[in-house]
Amino acid sequence: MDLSKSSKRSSWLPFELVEEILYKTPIKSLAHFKWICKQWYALINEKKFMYKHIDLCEKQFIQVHPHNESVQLFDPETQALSSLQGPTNIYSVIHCDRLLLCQCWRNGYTPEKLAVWNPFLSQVEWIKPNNFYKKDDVYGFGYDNVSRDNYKILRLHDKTHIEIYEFKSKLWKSVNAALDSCVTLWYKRYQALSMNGNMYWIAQRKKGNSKTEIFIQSFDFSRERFKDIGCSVPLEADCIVISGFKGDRLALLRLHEGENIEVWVTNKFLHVTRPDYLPTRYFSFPTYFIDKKTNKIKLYCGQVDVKTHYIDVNVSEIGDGDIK
Amino acid sequence: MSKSEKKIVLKSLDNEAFEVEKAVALQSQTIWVMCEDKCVGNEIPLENVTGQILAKVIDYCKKHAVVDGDGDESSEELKNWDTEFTKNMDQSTLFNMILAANYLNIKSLLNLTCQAVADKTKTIDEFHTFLNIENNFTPEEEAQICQENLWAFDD
Repeated sequence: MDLSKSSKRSSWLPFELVEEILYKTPIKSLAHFKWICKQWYALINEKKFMYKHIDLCEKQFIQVHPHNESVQLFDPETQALSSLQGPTNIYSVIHCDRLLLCQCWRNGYTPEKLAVWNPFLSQVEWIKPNNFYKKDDVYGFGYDNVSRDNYKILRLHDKTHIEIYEFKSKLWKSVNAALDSCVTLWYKRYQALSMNGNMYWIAQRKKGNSKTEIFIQSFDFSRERFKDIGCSVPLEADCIVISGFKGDRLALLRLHEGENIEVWVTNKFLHVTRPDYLPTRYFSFPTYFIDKKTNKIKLYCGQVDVKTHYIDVNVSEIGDGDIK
Repeated sequence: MSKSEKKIVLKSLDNEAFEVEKAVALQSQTIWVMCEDKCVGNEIPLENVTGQILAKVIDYCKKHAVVDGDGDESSEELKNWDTEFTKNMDQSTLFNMILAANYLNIKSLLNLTCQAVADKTKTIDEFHTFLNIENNFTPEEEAQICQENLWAFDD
């Protein structure tokens, strides 16, 4: 159906101004507003529009609720926590261009499942495996530099058995790439990042002298190769969380009891004061992003009340904005 | 520059005249170009903006103008002022402000007013009413799109 040709000029406000308003409209509202008329529907569904909207909009935190295992968004601007209606029993999520790659738990007799979910257009696509998904599979999600539309899923059955699923062909194919045998990917919630089409995990490597080091392992979807990105984060940590900054820089945040928070941003190391209050028992790792306007770090911790399952959210703004 | 050259008169669609500092008015790229061209005198006719809206635009420009080192308000304070400025505007005023900011080419005001509409408009009906847009989906098309977007929880 071609919706781009609207029979009637839709309003007295020039369409480019409507576009300006829609760039500033929260993504959840866009999902409703696309029903306003055909012209708006066509615009909101346009890839070009969506990419620009992603660049312009304020960041939100995403988390998987620990009890019903659904996905929730927290908007730091409005302080609102909202649930997204979609697949449940989610084990882990990787997001790329607002698509969520969800690994779903075994549920009764059904095997593990893998879904690509666009929560804002309410679309879910279940990706069928060549053979059964396993709980310890590791996934990556991105695209190559040929086409941003042709999203790709990386599946590591183990360090040498690696497959890629392409959205265009809807097929899995084996890839001639292998992970170093002494490398382990920390594939837990929030320790994987898809940025600019490529995939990044926090990884540890056993070295000859029985020592272990932490580094960032990346997968380049264009060349279909793994790549190491060195860093010097101490292994001793309550948690280390990965994030991106300004679209092409990597950031690692280290949280350790009684110590100041440390943040590494590509080419920069920062000691950041610990906020006065920081929950000690979080149900999942804290997440954070670096505000591109203020350059301050927004750290998000969710604590869950075991009785009510109510999530208590704590967002601290830390750092003095000296990340340039 | 003599005192009179620093002032400029803006005339609205409904012939209301506003005398403002040149530095205030020149935040509008449109006015800036008009002044550069020297094709206008000291009085600039703005045929697309009513006096009621122009008064608000001038308020905004005064607040945001840097006049003789007088514009050193903190960005926090400006942000709060901006929030208050649009807070009590009704939708129709806001849309007219968007049109004016676009016509006068004042980028920051356009951003501010578009953001205010985006924040304030919660329902489809509001857009239909304020923008006078007609829902031009046929029931068949609506059904077809719903079908395409249907939940697929089970594989």
